[in-house]
Amino acid sequence: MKPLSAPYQIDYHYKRSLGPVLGRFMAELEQGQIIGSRCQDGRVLVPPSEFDPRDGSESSGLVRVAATGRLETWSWQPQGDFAFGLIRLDGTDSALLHRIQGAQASELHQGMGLIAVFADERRGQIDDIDHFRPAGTDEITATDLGEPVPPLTEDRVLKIPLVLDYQIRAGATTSDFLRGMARGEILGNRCPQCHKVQVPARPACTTCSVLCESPQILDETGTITTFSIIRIEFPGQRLAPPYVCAWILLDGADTALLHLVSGDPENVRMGQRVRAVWKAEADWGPTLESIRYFEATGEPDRPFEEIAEHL
Amino acid sequence: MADIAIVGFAQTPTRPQSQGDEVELVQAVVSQARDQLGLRQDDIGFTCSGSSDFLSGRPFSFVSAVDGLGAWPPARESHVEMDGAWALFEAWVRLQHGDLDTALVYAFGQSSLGAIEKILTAQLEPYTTAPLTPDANALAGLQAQALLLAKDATEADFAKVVSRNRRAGLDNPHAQLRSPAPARNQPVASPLDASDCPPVGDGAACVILARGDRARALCERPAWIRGMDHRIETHHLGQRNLCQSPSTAAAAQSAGFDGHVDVAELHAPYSPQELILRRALGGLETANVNPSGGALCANPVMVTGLIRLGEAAQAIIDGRATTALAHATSGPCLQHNLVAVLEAR
Repeated sequence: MKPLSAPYQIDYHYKRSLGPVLGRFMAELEQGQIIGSRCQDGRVLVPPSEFDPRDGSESSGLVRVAATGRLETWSWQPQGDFAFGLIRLDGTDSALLHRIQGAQASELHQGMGLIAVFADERRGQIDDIDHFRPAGTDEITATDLGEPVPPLTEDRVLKIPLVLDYQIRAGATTSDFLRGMARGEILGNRCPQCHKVQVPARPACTTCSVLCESPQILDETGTITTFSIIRIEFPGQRLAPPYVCAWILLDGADTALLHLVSGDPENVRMGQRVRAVWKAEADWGPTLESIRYFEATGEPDRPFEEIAEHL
Repeated sequence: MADIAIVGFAQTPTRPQSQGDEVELVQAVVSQARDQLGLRQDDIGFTCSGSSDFLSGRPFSFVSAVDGLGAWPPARESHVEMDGAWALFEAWVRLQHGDLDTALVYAFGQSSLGAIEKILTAQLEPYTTAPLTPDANALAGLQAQALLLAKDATEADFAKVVSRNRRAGLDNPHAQLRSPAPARNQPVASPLDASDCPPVGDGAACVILARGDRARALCERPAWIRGMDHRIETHHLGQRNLCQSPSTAAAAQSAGFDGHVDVAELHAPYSPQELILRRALGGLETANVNPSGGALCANPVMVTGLIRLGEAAQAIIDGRATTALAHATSGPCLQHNLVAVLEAR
């Protein structure tokens, strides 16, 4: 059978503190201006840098630069209507990566004059330059650098989202385990070398690094080895606090399974006997959530010595 | 420098979609490498892995991959969020201390779970570069165009690199692409054709290192590491000369490369990059370059560099070479480069 697969997305919204140099660069972009940094040897870098990447020496200051420049190299993109290019702004000594639009692929050439086109709505980010377009000869004016600009004193934070889409796949053995959950079965598997039974079933013994035997169905009763009472609220919670999250050693297994325990948290004990309470069969799926939670069986507790090895 | 050698190598075939998960990939390749030398995990002094959580989208995915290792008794273990070649570098440095005599290095990666060209964008300078979302192909295209403009190469040169690697890959059972180079008629990011770009695939590899007498006991013909170094350039693409690779040249010099090796395994995911690397390494005219077919035939990201070290070492272990150079790269447009020089003694 094919491994189980599911769509998955990560969505991190980083807030990056910019500091005095990049902070000023972004503040100037918001105003429709571009600045560079001057190295101690006189070279001017755009984007500006706090330090000269050649020797790490501190930059000697910031300076306004032209919005026009020359194309150094480019790559036309298959989406059709733009290229990425490295553009050396007039009077500067490094190149800026940006999008080039308004020209055909065949028109691009080394040394081509380009001019920054600013976005109408600017928010202090590199996209405030919407793109570069071919510049008319009358648009390329002085290549002299402008006046010095002071570093930014207030802190400026840039929100940079990172969103990536995946289609994740469980491995063969994990797929077996999850399919078991959809049938109302808890599957573990035995190591042929140390004979311990792991649950959930895993591809290899985590101790011996040999492939495990075929999964087997385990009992639904077990013993709480250790637990924690969750008293705070956080996003994604299934139960209202306070509730118990416990390691449960199923009968016949050698590794514990993490799950929820119902009932009054103050009554939960190490060594307490519990059994799985499944959702209605119609709600079973390839997930540990097919088990609603574990509940106390009322049997006598197991002595600590019998679970000590599994903590 | 202590006498340290590569004594064993194993790799999975690189495939568009591996059937197993990361643990299954690691278990398969680590077991194979240990078994062929008759070693168990508790015989290994130091273990180090290379991978990237971004490939699977799961923070700390490398921790669960340890399940494939069998880390009991508790192993001396480390991880780099880089290609496994850098994990090998760490293991080599660790063995220099002299208190341990074996190290196991593994790398794994499943590029098939996400869109790898976009995932690689997340490694770019985050303020002024990454937000523009240039993907890996676009940046390699800028570098290829720069080579053409400098008249350092022609598209026919790119095609020759592809053709030679794909021909070599025909004989490599682990390669993903095992067919001759296709016609250049699939533009990707100009001037790159689809055939200039690496295939997307999943895989894992494992290399075992040993010191001095232990290496001699484990392997009839160890691949001794003459030297190894890695150097990095600025992450601002516009402040680099993309036609050159000074970091490769510096790493090679520091690794003791004298211009002549029998075999060279170069980690060049894009065909123009092989031309840049060859020039940085003084031509490699007399070397058999990428007898494995290189990254153009199989590119399990985070593993490709370690495979270069493994393939170069295997050529020595098997007696096909007396000296070999292995190169690994990381970052956009050959930003960061590692070179190792291996030799039979």
